[in-house]
Amino acid sequence: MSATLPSASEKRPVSGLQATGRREAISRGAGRYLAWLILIVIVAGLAFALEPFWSTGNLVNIVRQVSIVGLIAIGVTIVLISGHFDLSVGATLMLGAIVSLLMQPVSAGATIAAVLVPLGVGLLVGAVNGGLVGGLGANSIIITVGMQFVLTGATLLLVAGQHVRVDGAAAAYVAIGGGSVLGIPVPVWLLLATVAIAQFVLTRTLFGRQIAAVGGNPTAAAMVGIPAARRVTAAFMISGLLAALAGVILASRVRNLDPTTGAGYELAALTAAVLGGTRLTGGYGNALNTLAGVLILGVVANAMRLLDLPYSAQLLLQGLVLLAAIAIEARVRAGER
Amino acid sequence: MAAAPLLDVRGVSKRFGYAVALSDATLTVGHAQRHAVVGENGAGKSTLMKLLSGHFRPDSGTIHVDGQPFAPSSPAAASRAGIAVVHQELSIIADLSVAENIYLGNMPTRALGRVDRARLRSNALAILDRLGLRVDADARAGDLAIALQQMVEIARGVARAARLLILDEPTSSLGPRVAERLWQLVAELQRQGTAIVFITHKLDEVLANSERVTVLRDGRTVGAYDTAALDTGRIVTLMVGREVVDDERGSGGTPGSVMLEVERLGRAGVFRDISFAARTGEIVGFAGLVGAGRSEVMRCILGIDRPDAGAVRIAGREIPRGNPRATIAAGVGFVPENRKEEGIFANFGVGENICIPGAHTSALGVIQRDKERQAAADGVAKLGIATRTLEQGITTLSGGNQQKAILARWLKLDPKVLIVDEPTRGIDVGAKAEIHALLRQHARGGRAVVVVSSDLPELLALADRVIVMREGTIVGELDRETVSEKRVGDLAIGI
Repeated sequence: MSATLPSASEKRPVSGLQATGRREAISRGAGRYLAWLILIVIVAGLAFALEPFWSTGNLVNIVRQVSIVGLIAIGVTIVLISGHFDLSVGATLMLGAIVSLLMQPVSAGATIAAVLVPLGVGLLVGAVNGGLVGGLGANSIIITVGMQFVLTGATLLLVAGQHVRVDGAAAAYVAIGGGSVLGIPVPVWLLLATVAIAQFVLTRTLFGRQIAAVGGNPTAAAMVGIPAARRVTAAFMISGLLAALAGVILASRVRNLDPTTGAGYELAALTAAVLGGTRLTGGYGNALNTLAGVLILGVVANAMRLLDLPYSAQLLLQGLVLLAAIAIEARVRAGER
Repeated sequence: MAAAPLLDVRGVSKRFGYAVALSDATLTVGHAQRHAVVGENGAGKSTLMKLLSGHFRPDSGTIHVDGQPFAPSSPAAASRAGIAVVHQELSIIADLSVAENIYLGNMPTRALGRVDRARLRSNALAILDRLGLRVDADARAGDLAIALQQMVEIARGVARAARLLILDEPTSSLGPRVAERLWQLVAELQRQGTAIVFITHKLDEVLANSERVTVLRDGRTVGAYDTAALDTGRIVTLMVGREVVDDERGSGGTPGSVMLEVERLGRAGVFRDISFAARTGEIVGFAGLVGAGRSEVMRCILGIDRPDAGAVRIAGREIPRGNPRATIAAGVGFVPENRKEEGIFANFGVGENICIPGAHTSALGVIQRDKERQAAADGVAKLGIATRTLEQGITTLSGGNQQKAILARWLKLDPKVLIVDEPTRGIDVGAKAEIHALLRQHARGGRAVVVVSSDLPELLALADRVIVMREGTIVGELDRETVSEKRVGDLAIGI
């Protein structure tokens, strides 16, 4: 009976699974690492045109300055891959920073608390965001903007609107934001470790694959047995954790915080993620490219400072970069249809 | 020499990046002719239609309408020349009225671009009347049945195209009775002097409703034929380029022990009291009208919807309600009804789409890439999926190959129970026969297969037993000796 089974090979020779064409491979590779190419072009241009740019001190400075936005951007990227937005990261960062200082890290024990308690708060914020978005199916933009107000209000309430400062902080606490190992600042090490872990998790583990599956097609993900709500919640919790970690770094660095400052981190993180090729519609993105996006932002901001551009021009340019990145993202998507 | 044909497409080619969609294709349509265009998925039918509608420009070749060169720059330009395309996907806007939908993008206006409501309404009434459609022109389009929405879609095409109307799979979402009305409408348009070009996978529709047939294969025109000189087998052979034999009946397996047992399953307002069993070595078919509750039963078995009552047992063990993961772990594979919405991950390559359930991982959840590549490559080879690489985006494959990839996803896990909802909807005959063979093979390998299909000939070809549902309950079961299209149809309608 099975003689009538039409074998596919006689119909369409499965030329199958041959090596990809060379031109195709190059253009695909260029697409995959576009953010890094852009970064290299910008850095090369600035190294050539702007003398003070190309010095070890300035370059280390850039990387140190982007480490806070970088940590947030990795979290935002993971949430975007899962198909959602996290706009509460800036407020989570501030709450984490304030909570960290409130622990008054002047002793070893208090330093441990000043790190772990904010991280716990960040996880909790992420769990609430994720529960509302993943579990109830609420719109993540609205939920996380609402959460942003809740957290900012909670932060102000916590300190009665006053500055919080720590005098005589423990050396270990100061080192989190200000120390160096092998000539490289500790926050940079933290960012690099986070990027490495996130990149591995996103591209090599089942968990990362499932996050992308949920972001790409939530219905299909549920139908192949992926617990979609739990994966979304996990993505938000990672984002909350990283935002709180960024807050601890900020707190350690300044040790004197005005609870009313600190807006705008979420949009910088979003810009970086989109510059790195993360899709706003979910399913695509990785940590390494987001790092390139973060560095592009950092290098451009640094150049503007070196050129002594007024703050207004810096804001304007930052906004334009976000709009351009999103316009390019939309074009790429349209081109694939 | 005779007058120029209405439409004369000569030697057109179209490439998309590295893919050749059309190469030297030809199509000649006479005045007031009903002309079918057939071919497998990926043969270039839709691309050809999109050249005519002005969506794309051909890379080479010529198109003439009434002897005049025709190179529309947009769908609007094409409709000014009297050519309109009704696409397969409904583009009805639910919140607008029927009249507004008919004249969408084409509304009669007064000064300052205000819509001339009176003229809009009277024009719409005239079109609906001409087509013999009894639809309220002021009704909200979203409130109409899907079939009527399709008719409104066609009315929109008629409102634009006096000379040539192109229908891309017009009956793919219609039941047989509504489809019949559509073909009457097509005949009426023909009497009024409009030529109709239609694409369909249903070859009996081609034979019943066209005078001429153009066959495409791999982007080339195989030939144009008088319909009267063709039969189904001949068309299939022309389309596929070889003879396709799919004349088996049932699975050819021997029923053994019960693998899937469903007992008094119910979900309020959807279906009730559903009991049946599927054994190893058999294919159980589910027939019924759209809305009879068949897909809903299958979704509750999987657990994507939660049943309110009853139990499901796999190989004798009861599975928890509403938990797809546990159901899959118990040995169920599930190919959903809507490939695009529920099946494929457009953001993944073919390989990842195959390996998404039951990924190969080490203890810590790290994907073992070599094993995964091997498993995916095995699936591609075994099912004959036409893809160049495992990384190739799944959406670049034809519908038939996408469906095979989803099937590969489950066959890789060798599920004890394989549930397939509409195994070959919108898939060409060649791939259809291959998918049928795979399902039979799975059943013969000592597994149970459950098939839901609205395509009765398909059910009769595959199923060893056919269970018929109507209005949320099982109304009958027919075995190989008693089953016929007529008996299934009678049970499904309730005569």
